[in-house]
Amino acid sequence: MKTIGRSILRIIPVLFIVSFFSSAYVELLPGDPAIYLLGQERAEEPGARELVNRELRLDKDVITRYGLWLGDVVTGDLGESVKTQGLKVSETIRQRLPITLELTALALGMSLLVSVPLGVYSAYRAGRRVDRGLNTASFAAISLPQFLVGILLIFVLFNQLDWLPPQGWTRLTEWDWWDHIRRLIMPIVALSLTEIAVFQRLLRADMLATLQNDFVLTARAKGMSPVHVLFRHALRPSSFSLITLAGISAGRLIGGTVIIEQLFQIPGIGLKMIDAITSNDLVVLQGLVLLVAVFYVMFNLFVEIAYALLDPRIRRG
Amino acid sequence: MAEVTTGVATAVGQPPGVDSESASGNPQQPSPEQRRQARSRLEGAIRSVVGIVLILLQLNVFYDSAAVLQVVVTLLGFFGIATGLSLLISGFLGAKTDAGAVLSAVWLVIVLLFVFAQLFGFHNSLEADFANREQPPKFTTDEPLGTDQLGKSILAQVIRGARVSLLVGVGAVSLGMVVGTVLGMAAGYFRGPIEGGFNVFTDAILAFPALILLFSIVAIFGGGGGSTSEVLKITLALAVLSVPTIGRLARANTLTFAAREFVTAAKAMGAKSSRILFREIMPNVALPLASYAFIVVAVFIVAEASLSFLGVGIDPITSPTWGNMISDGRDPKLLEEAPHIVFVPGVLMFLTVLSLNRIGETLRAYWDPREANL
Repeated sequence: MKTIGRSILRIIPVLFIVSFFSSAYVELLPGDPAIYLLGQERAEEPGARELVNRELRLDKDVITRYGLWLGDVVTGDLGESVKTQGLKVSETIRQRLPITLELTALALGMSLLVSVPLGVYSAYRAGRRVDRGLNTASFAAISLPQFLVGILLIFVLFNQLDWLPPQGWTRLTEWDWWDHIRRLIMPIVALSLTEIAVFQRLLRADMLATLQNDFVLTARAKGMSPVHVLFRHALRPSSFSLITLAGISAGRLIGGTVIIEQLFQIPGIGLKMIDAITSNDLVVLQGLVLLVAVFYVMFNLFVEIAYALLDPRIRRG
Repeated sequence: MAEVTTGVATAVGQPPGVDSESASGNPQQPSPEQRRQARSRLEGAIRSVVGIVLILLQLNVFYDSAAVLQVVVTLLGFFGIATGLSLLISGFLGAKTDAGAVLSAVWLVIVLLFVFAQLFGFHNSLEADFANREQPPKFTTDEPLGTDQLGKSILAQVIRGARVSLLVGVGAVSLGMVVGTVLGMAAGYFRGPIEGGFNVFTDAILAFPALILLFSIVAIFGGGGGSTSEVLKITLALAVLSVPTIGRLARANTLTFAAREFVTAAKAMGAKSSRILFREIMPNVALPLASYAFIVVAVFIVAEASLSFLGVGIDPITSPTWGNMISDGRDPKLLEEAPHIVFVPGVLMFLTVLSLNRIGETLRAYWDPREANL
């Protein structure tokens, strides 16, 4: 429990730095923010400049501005878009976050589901043909950029075979489950392919080290089946690095869905982030970057906690 | 196909019984090792030729046929070329050669030639030519890699893309290596407040998801300013990203080496800190990091392409890159009509990233034995 407390304490300064960076964007803009954000014409419209000044609090200095902004953020108010009148950032997040989270969770689940058996099997059969084949395949998969995997999937599954729709999204609230699943398949596969390869390699390496241990030999000598020994005895002590990596991946995937959301036109956080960048919508970008960064930090925290719970050796350390 | 070629190879080679006889030491007879090499040369040559023929068939004959056939033929072709070339390499250089690494090195040299292709005045035109748009690759025509939706030569674009990708990747890593190594070594050697500051800095940068940080940096510095400054901007952003990772590795390595006897000896002989850092510690720290650099270049090539793909990277009009070429052709309708617009730069990028990873892995095993026996 002490470790957990210490991990929580340690992320507080990191959270402060992260949020300060997010709020200090506007400092770094070249020239007059109103003109930069809105363009010359719209900046001269009545009320436009006031909106920018109010939203970005340009009349205050950096520290005060950060304080006020942080106060608002803590109470759930992430400000209003300077581009689209009346669009609250918190509302955008409420609509879009579930989609991104769904993608992330499913991709991570699928990665673990596939990579754990593959990793265990390749460690069990180390050096054999299957292991070498998997090694080559995972090395190739690591070198394959996400967007290329996505395009390849669209090319084969839509253009050539016409099995799945190439782009777009059906909300769960429309109750068209079948369409929802069909639109999920390609993004999930594209998101998880690299993770599967990385997880598999990591688990194989750790598993190989575990299988050298005497207790594995003892268990085999007692006549336990290889499957039982591999999954009940060897998997748990081999899984620590994998859990760490899975947690970091989860945090990374939330930001990393940007590419996949753009390619498959899925209205999640990432797609909005691209919109905000290309249209210079700073307030929206600020809010979303903060959100993603906080998720990232929190996942890293969860990893440390999970680690302590799984491995009794660390708890007292 | 593998079955066919092995069949041919065994038919041409000696029957298995002969090998053991020749091992009995007659100097006129080729040794079993030479025999094996000759056989692997032959089989390698056959596999490569079959592979190349399959790829050519796919490009010129099967272009309009069913998807499954195309995919199978292409995969078989690549498989044939890859296994064939590695057999050829082990046939010529001995069975112990790491054929994958040699192939990767050869491919990287080819990509480097791409970079300098313009100096030789090779295929320079980026003119749009609507009459010839979306031409599929045909090796017998002026446009061996085809043309895009505006009729621009894909070969010319790919060559320019190689230059941008390598420039950004190598530039960012070199910059990050220099800054990261110096900072990391200083932190690991002097400890105290320098190390504290270093830790806060790296923690803060690593707390952001990399892609998001990249976005933010690019977004803050805004678009425009011509392609040169865009390339510079992305290079700088990537360099900033690489400093914490490289710096931490440098710090960890410095910590172990600073405690070693040769450093104590140098200190006892009155060497200054700068001398110890640069003459004693740096050679030990820099070499393992250099092998890591290849892998980081690969990551950065993908990162640059991702930015271009998302439309926040380098402007496709002034300077085509692999990323924005892929982005240009990814529309499902265009993918139907002219898949090569995506797949030519895609395959090039995949092979380059694969080669960089492979070389990096090999060098790491060679220079950093600690990591090697993972």
